[in-house]
Amino acid sequence: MDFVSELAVARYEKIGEIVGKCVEKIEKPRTFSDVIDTVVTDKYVGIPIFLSLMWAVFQFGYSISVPFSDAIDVFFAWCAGIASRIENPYLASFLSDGFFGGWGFVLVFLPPIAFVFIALTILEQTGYLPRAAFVVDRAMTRVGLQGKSFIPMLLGFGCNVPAIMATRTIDDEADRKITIMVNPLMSCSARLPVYVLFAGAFFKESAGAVITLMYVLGIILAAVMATLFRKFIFGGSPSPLLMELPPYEVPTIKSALMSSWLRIQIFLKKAATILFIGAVIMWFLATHPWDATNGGELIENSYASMIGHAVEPIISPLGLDWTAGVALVGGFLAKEIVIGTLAMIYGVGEEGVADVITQHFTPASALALMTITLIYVPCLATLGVVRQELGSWKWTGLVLAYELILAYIVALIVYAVASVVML
Amino acid sequence: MKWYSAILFLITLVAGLMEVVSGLKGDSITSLVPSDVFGGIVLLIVSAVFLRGLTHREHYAFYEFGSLMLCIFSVLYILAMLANGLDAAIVGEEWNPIDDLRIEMILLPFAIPGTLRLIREKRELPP
Amino acid sequence: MIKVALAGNPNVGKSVIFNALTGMRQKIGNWPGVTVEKKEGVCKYKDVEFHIVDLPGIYGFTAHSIDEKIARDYILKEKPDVVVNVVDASNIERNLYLTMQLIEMEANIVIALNKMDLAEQRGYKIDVRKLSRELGVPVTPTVAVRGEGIEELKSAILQASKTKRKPSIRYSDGIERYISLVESKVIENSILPDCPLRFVAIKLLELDNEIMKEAKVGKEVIEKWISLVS
Repeated sequence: MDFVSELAVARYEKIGEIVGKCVEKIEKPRTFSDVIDTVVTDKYVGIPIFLSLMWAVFQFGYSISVPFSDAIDVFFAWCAGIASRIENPYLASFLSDGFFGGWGFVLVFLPPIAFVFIALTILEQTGYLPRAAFVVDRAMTRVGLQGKSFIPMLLGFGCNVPAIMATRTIDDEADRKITIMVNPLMSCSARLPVYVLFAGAFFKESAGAVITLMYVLGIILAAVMATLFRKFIFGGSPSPLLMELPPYEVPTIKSALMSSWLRIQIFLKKAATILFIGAVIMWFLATHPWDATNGGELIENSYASMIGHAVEPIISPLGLDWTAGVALVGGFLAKEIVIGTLAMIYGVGEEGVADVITQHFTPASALALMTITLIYVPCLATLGVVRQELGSWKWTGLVLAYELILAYIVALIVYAVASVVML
Repeated sequence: MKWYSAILFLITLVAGLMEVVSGLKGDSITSLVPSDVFGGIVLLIVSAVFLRGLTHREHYAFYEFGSLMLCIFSVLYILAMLANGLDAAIVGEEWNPIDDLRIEMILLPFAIPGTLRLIREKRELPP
Repeated sequence: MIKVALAGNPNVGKSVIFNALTGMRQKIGNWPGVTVEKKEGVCKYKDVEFHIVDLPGIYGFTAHSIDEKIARDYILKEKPDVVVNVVDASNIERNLYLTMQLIEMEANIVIALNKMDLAEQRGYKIDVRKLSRELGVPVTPTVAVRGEGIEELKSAILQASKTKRKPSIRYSDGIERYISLVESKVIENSILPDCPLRFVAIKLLELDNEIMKEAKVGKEVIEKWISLVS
């Protein structure tokens, strides 16, 4: 006899008995939430509606933020310009390239991130997200995840740090661990500049399609890795989705702004510390030894170049040279640094990078670089959160290892296929 | 009201198809229809919602929600247009609002009746 | 000073009640060894201090998830003077499942029947006094977001800490036979004398890993006992 079920039945029987005596059901009026749910959880249009709402969130984030990003960019470029005219060449270089240059690059991406967070928060406050989780649950269980993993995965498109922290809502440990381990494959907003730059330079009109392809690739890889992890490491199956559907509400601008402010603050803190330090480190590596590089002009002689050349043999099968090597190493610290590093190495400002990269990359190697950026390692901040939430270096090490290996293999395949196709 | 749903279905279907075709061709067919595959797909999804409503028992729900979606996207594009204008001012470029005009904005008035109905339902029904 | 624990399903308004009881006197930390948030606070009522711990929202007391384990361990080991079971009146059947288990654990419970407004809106009419009689525990209706019923709840908590009644609910005869049998075996073998008898018996029947480990009783032993029931 299975007493677990027997006892469950016994308890519910008792509950039914008691409730029958004490609770009277008058009549269940149709609620507003019922009306919306009829449409939103419809078996045919449910998922398409969800996809279009997601698209709206990102579209809102990226188009509305453009003027703000440009304003920041103009401001920092102006600061950098003034700094570069300082008498002392060392100070001039540090302030204009390291300080304003590095930090400016980073802050330019704050507006899109902020607006995406705001849009997601508004959506969250309407109460829609649990329905979306419900609607994608069926698809998710087929890859070994459950509906509750969906929101952290979604947040991962903004930034992996809050996304991984959001996995605390997942009860089942295996589900939770798997969600954390594949979360970095959800291409975070910091990687987008890399896609935009390279896709824009090499694929022009199809740039949008290529970028979307990167995101889709991330999702597919996440699904594959989740299935593999589920099958070989964890066993069992995802726990059934038991979720409350709260009534719909109209979000207020005030509460939406307050909630998003919290998430934006996390990014600002990250920007103020890791990204800033990272940018300064990159500047240092690119301009030292000072005499050898003649104050940052001869990048070939810098420490950065040495690092790049050391990495070059590994990445040359992918059509990438030492400049890409340095940029990728910089990406270990934070993905936002990748482009800033390239700009510094080529000795150009932001607009100049797009032109210069055509000399160092081909469409195929550009795709390879984008693929590596998508997969290889999460930034330091994400790694920190992963370690915190997984609870051990062993698991964190596993994540690092699989990502590096997967990145290399997939990039290699992409490069090989692309090279053949493009000829 | 079903006939109105049918009209909405048709216009969003046509607009969506035109945008997708423009997007695939790489350049717009007419000035109001931008070359945007994803924007077109989204319009097609809205038309699917209206279509589903025509065959579903609860036709009104789909009519109202579809109108809401159309409203949201319309406003989204209008905001994007304004942001573009602001950006042009910051960067110092010329800007002609007419260039950014797109078909979804024109469809906004069509979405209003359904959205208003939705708002009324929200007020009248329990949550 | 009395120890009070708040237990209930997720999303029933437990946090709202916790905040209503403790106001500014709360602190947030972590349960030892895990990344689950622990909220504690103090409420003073008629010269008595309630030290309140907000347990994680759970649907049951199996040992499957960290949250359930934390809640269960707290109630069994810390033995709070009163457990406030927050029940969502608009979802009463599902919520009472946890209540049944709390009663099995012989916890001294007071039910805060929350979201009464939502229940009413959904067309439910609940006879609170009858419910209290049937369950054998005090039931206080509340609408926590409006602050209604909170004072009555505090009074109920204080009252419960003094009377300490042990409610018991019997299930169908069929299963009660097995429970009685295991109970007698537990007494016979002095298994876990510090834990509530009925709770231990039920958990052993369910082959709960944790309890079996603590009681040092294996699956075969339990199955042998079961076969003794004619």
